[in-house]
Amino acid sequence: MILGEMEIMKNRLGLIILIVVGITLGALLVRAQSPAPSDGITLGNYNVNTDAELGVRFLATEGDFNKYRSDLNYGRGFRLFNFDFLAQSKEGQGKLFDKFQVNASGWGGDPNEFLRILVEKNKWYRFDSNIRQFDYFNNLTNLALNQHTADLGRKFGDFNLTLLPDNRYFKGYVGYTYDSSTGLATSTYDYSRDEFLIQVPTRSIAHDYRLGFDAKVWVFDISFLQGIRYFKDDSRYLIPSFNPGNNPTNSSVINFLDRELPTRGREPFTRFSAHTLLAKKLDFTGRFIYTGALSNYTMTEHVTGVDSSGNNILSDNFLAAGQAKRHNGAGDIGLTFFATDRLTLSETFRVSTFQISGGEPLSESEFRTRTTSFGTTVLPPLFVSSLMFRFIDYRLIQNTLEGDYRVNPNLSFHAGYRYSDRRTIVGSSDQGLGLSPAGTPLTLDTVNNHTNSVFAGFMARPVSIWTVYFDVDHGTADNVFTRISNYNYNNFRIRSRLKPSKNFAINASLVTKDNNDPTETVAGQLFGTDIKARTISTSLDWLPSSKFSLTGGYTLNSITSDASIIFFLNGVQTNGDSQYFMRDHYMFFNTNIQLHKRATLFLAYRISKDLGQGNRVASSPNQILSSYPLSFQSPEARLTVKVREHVDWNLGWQYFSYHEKLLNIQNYHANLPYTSVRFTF
Amino acid sequence: MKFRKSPLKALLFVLLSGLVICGLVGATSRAYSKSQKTEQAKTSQATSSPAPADEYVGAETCKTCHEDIYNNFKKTEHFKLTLYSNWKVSDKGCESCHGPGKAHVDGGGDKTKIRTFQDLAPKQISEVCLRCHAGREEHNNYKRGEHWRNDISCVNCHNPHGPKATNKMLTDKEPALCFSCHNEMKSQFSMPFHHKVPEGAMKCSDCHNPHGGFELKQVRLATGADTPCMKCHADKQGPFVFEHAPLRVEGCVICHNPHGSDNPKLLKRNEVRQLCLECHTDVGTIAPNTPSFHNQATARFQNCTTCHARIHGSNVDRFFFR
Repeated sequence: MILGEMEIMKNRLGLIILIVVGITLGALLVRAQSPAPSDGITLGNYNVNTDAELGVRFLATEGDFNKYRSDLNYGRGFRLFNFDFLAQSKEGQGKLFDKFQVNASGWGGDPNEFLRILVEKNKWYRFDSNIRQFDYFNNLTNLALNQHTADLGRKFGDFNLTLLPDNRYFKGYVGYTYDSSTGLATSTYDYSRDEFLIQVPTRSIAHDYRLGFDAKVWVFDISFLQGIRYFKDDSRYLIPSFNPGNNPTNSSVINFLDRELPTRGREPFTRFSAHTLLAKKLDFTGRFIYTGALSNYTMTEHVTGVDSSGNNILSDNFLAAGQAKRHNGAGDIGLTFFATDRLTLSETFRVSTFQISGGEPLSESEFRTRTTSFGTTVLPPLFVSSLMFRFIDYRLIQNTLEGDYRVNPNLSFHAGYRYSDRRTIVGSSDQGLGLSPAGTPLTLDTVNNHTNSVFAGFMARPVSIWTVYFDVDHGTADNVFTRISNYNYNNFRIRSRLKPSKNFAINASLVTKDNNDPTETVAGQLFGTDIKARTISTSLDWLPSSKFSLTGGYTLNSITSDASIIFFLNGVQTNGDSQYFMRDHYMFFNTNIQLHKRATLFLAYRISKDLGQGNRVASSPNQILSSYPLSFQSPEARLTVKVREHVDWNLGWQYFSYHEKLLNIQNYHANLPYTSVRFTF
Repeated sequence: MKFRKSPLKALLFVLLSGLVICGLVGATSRAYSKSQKTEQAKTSQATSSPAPADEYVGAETCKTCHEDIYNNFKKTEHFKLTLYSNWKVSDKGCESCHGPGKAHVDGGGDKTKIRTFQDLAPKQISEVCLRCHAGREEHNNYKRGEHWRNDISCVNCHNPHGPKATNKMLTDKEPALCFSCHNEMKSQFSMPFHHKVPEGAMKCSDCHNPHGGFELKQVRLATGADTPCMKCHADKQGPFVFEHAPLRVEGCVICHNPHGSDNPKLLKRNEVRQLCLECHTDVGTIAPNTPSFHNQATARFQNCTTCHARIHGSNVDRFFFR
């Protein structure tokens, strides 16, 4: 717990700094001058509104700091809690822009940083950009033996320029997006029947470029988008020094491993859609998408060490270079017929296909020796070459027919039927080349399935303050590829919104999902799955006055899953059960209390408590039974003092407590006091 | 494990449904009869063609009586259209939504002479908005979307003349706006591992199109026809020589809970092997059983992704080792 003690010391130090900084900021702000008018300030032709909150956050943790960072990752230091800026021209008189908007949060140390900039000149252009950065940290004892970790910087940017944004006949679009990932991760590698921790200096980036337009052509609204994504992955995989592997019964050792696997991807895509409303009776939308993706890669891997037979690996070299392609086409047609003012009929048809194919010529050259008490013998080198080929061919045809009838403004019903037909073909071929042994010939596996489902529901407003939404969905789901046959499913959802006044609302919902497979047998055994998910949720919003508000709620998420499985126990094929339980109780409240005309207290609390499997235990080795019982809670308190009309000083404290029941090794507590100043004008 | 069919349950469900429907028709018809006359008038206004130009009075006239609303309206995106001289008066200002105002003004503010929205059905309200806002790909499927189907109208989320200038004229910021109806989602985003929506770094509408779409759950598409996940997780996009077929055939949500999970990889099961074994369970070559040496009695073979580390797909290893 040295780390914990250090954190406590830092906590005390942090609190002292917090108080000093708080008092200083408070004193400074009391002297602040010239508060702006409440509806913004005027700067030339612009009306400007700003809402900025800057401050400093402290951190004191006890327990598993890696788990804390994996969950929350809030650090110490100064940061921009929130920033909203809006400059709008008066009467559209701006020269270069009529609107300039900035929204930002988290900058200066938070793990999640967000910036949005929007600039617009009426009639001519709108530029909208989003920049996000995430410090992605993952270092967990209960994940892959704590060997799959990540400390990565993820950066995303979206930039979209719309030309003639208010033109009803033509709008042009230009866009660019980037998505990058850099940093150090660790993973594992299976070599010679052992698993080795491997370092992964990560460096990947994707660039998207887009060009498109919306146009009105005759009676049609046309949208066209052409884009291309370039993807580049230059991550490396390293074992720099002696590594005995995870498996104590396996003698293999890696002394050095260096794998380079630069990958380059390119994905041009085209999207076209057309929409029209004919005679105010028939709404038509058609869309076509085509994507042709290509990946090229080369791999070189060099390994030295000892294999599982005790041979010295002087040099084990892998070389591969290949290509994978994916052609993806999708066509959709949606028709909505307004039969009467109250009756609407809709038809939606989809055809979607893709083909993925790829080939890998792989060659391995291995140079080995064997050391015995008689000395070291040079073993014959090993040369293996192979050509592997894979493809997946997928086709989906889906049709949905639905109707909607409005009895009166307070009551409407809808019902529909959906049919889908899917075909998936998976093919593979492994061939030895040259002196290598022959591989397996081309094999093809085809899966076909048809699914049918019906759905219905209503919206009812028995009294003006109360609305009820209800949906039921019954059918055979289409996730058959990952299970042995069609799932039967029944989904219910009822949602109630009670709003007696503008300032008081109660929401409640019940969602049930039942999936089961009652018919399938494998080798004469009843073989299926049974999953029940229940969600009960209610929330309340009450704002009786500007001096007091309360929001709270409770949600139960319950999942009981029981699936028949077949697996191997000590080499014997065994029929068993896989059971999973979740009983998550979530409760929260937020309240604002105005203690004084210059002081407001914000109190919040939330807890997520998963009781998991309760007292259930696996009754035999044939049963895999799991859950993840935990408790995760976070109270927060913040005192806001209005120093000036448009200047607030905040002093807050947030606490996180994580406690897991089964492993009980990753628990932590974190105190995050903070102080900030908020300016609004 | 129990699997059973219950005709009794089905019968009970039908009977209960019938009762509920009868009750609802009865309960709502009272409210309906009150508003029937008004609705008929508003319906004809909502769907009628634009009136002659001389029946419009312009937003400045509306301001004389509704100054507070006009001042709010000035802060919205809609206001800028009033500055365009080449736009018809019927397509801009207050009357583009509320209809021609001359009769209303001449009637001394007679509410029955202008379109108000209180008594319109949600779909009728949306129709008014779609007169201008249909036609962009974003909105093309609104009439086949979940919100349309469930009578959530545009003004449930957008405020055409709210007191505050907001992004896209939303009545609240995301995700608070979405949580106000989808309150059960809040718990998922409060789990230890979640996409950073409550933190404000992501929005519900980054992945979902609230205006409908051809995709289930109204998800958006990333590049081309890819799932929205691929926009940010480009390294999972492939194509790979060795694709883990469910990734593309079923989509990411077959293994992951995208909103939040107790599992650091947002998996649907706590133990990875459960996810794997529930498919790889001797049901054919397309999802073959594990080899016999994968002894589930030992911890080594319970962590599937320790060896099969590139589980989404690999270019160089058919077993997803590297």
